[in-house]
Amino acid sequence: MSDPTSGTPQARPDDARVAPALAASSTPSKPPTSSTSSDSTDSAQQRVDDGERHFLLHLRRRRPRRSRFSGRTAPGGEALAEAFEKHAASATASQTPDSASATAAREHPESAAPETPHDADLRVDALEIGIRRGRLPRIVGKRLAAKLGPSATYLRRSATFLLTSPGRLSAVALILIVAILASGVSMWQSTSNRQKQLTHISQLSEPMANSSQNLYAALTIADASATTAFSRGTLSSNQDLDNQFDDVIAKASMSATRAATGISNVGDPAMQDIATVQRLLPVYTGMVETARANARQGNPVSIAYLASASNLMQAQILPAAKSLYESTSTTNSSQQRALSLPPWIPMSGIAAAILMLLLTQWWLTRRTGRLLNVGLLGSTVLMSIALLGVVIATTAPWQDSAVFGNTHSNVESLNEIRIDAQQLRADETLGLVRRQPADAQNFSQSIEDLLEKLNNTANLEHSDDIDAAIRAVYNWEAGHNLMMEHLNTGDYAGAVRVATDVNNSSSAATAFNELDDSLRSSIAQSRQAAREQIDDARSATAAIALITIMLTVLAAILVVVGFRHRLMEYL
Amino acid sequence: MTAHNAVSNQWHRRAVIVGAAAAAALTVSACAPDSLAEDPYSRVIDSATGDFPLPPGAYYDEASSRPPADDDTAVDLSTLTPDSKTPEERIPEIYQRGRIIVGVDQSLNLLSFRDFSTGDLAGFEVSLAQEIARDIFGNPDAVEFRYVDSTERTDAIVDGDVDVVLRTMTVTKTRRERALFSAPYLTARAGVLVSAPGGDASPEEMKSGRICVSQGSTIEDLIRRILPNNTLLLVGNWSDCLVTLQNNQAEVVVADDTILAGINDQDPSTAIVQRGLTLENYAAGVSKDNPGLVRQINATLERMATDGTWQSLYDTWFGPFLPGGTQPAPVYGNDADILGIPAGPDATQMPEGRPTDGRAQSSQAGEPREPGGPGGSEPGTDGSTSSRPTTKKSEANNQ
Repeated sequence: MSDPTSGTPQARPDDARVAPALAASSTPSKPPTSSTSSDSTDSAQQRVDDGERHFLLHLRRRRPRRSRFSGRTAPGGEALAEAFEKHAASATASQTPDSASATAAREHPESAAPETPHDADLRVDALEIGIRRGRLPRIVGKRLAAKLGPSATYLRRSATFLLTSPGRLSAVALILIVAILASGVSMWQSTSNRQKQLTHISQLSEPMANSSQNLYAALTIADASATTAFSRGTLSSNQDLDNQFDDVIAKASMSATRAATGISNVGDPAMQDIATVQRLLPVYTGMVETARANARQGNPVSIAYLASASNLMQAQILPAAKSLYESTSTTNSSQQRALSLPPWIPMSGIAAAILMLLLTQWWLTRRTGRLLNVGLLGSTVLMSIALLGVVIATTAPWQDSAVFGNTHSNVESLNEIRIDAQQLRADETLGLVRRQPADAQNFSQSIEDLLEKLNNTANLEHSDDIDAAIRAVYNWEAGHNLMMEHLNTGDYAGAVRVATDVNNSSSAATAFNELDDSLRSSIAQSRQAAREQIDDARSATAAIALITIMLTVLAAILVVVGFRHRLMEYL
Repeated sequence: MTAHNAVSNQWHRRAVIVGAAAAAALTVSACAPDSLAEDPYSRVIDSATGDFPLPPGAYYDEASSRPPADDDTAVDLSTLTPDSKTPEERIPEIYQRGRIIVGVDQSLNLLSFRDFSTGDLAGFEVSLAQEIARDIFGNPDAVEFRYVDSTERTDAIVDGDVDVVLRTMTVTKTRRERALFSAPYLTARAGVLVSAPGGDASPEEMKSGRICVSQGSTIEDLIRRILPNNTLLLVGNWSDCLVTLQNNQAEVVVADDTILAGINDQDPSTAIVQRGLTLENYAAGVSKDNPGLVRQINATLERMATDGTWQSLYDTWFGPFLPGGTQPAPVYGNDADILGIPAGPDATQMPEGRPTDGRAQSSQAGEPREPGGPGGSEPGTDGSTSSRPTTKKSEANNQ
């Protein structure tokens, strides 16, 4: 129907009917001036018809059919059309044929269409173009319809253009470009978001989890060392333990402050936990100081103060610190785990763009008979590279690493071991100090658990520190057994000496300090490695964002290039 | 055409998803903004308080919250007669073990506490435990001390955690149902101590003040009887009372004078304002399965009475605070009565011919403390001379 070459010959016999149609079409819509003329005689109309026929015939022959569908009109075409209609009504043949007049004639074919049922071309025109009187006013009202009329016409013409071959090509090209650029922007947004999340992890979540762990460890040590210091009796020999106590209190306070900086919502349970620790820590240290002062004066009430302090620590501060530690490490690892997943949504956007490119090429091949379109092919290749790059960069290097993997991270398990060990040590010394020796069976069971966990960690990642830690656990067990021997012979002072003397190489205290040092250095190493991995991921993500956006822009340009030749064929 | 449709369909679906997401985002952001104007955490900060926590296990209670137990301090003190067997025959298990496990307090000044210059335990009860060990093993250091709270003393004996409890344990009817007691090793009288900053003590505080008392002690029931309108602060250990006094959690401590003397010794801004409310006999608590140990301890007490060890220990620890104390006389009862029907009436267990023993004993125990404190009143003191305990003791020895 839209073959431009066949239009002209067919139009010739139809011309006779065009003119009456024109006249008839003008009849209902025209102002009174023209309506009087429409009532005039046939002869007058015939005269008009003759003149018009020649003019339109001339038009049909000269104008390629395509221009009709292109819908191009000169600006102010409507006014011209009106002028033309007046002209026709006054039955004076126009001297100057104007294409705009012809266009104007097509503006009102509606009423003509039913009168000329045999004119296929006109009927098509009537379907495709022209104001469909009745529908628009019915929807939006007459006055608005009058205002919208021209733009509605424009839209309808554009829609019509899209049904032509160049129109379709342009539309497909436009859709492709938008799809490619949208997938690129989406990927860029996703990667920059990812970058933000990685920054958030390395600046807030991970330090928060780490300082919460340090806080818990420091508080456990503080309680154990304060109580042990008093059990040792002679005040002068407590210098080490006193210093240790002061150090860990300082560490605990700073760790809690550091952990608090990672909190954005003050209503969080984590905030409550930190607040509990920070509120009660001065009370705790105050009690310990009162105990110290009383001990200096030889007042036995110092033990009551110390018991109160220890109770405060065990019943309120440590549980808050533990819940803080657990929640922050869960948050941290779940955040890291979330980042180990590929960005599915932007990736699906890229994949959709690739699919559209392939389908377009298939369509073009069928339509034009040309096998390859270099521009589109290049665009497809670039987009595939982008997709592949994203897949590789977001998953492959981190998938096996503990930081982003689904497995328990090394830092986490080492931290758990350290806390278990500290708890066991606290139980051991506190039991001794309170003269309630811990169950020997429980102790050896806990030691076995420690060894098993350490060996598991060593299997995953071997390091000298972990070996040293395992050796220290064995020494600790030996020291503990020695202490129990002293206790079993009733030598309490000897048991205390074995359990707490840091200058004795075979004491449980020395072994535990070695264990804690090894674990600490091992945790620091694993943590450093994990943080470096996060940082690498951050740089990789930044690079991917840049590369993806460049590739998609290039791909979009190539689409333009690929379609340019096809479109040029129609110009 | 179909390809085109498929593509536009896909775009259509994506557009729908994006539209839905945008709508959701709008809904969420529309809900958010109302709470930003105020800072809720400032209220949390404003309402924060820095209360000094109560000692572990301590709680306030109205004195009238439960009816007091019957006054069972005037209780049968009869105990098992020391026989002529050797320690090895009396207590073979402990002898085999090589040490005796004694439950004590760790912070009760003068009675049993940790000496910070040595790190060892010291006090009257600790010395007593060492004397017991000396008689069993010939070595005063063959003692393993365990700390027991005052609330768990009887349980520690029944469960076998310790061989003997030496921890201000007053003999009561209820406790006698669950454990055996040695002859009393110390007699104490309940008194009142108030916080007196600047030495300005007023007995009126006792009317309204919060009274610190060890839960489950005989004093708790005494206060519920005589001061039903006060608030009690029940603590786990007597030493916690000084902590609560120093932190304004209680104003008054009602306790035995032996304990009050220890508190007064540590904090000069307290004053003992009343004495002699009751009479308490401290005795060593032993498991009912171990009557041999009771006989062993009684033998040691006999030995300490005769060779003057008891008096020198008393003078060492209580001399400066409660001068003139003497060892309470033992009352030996019928073995069958004590072991078989432990809660029998007093009269049946008293050896015949000495019906005034209980009364004589209370007076003799109370009298030496008379010159000790200001305002001390001694109900029941009948002015008997201090020579009577000696005669009684010799009678007991003769038996």
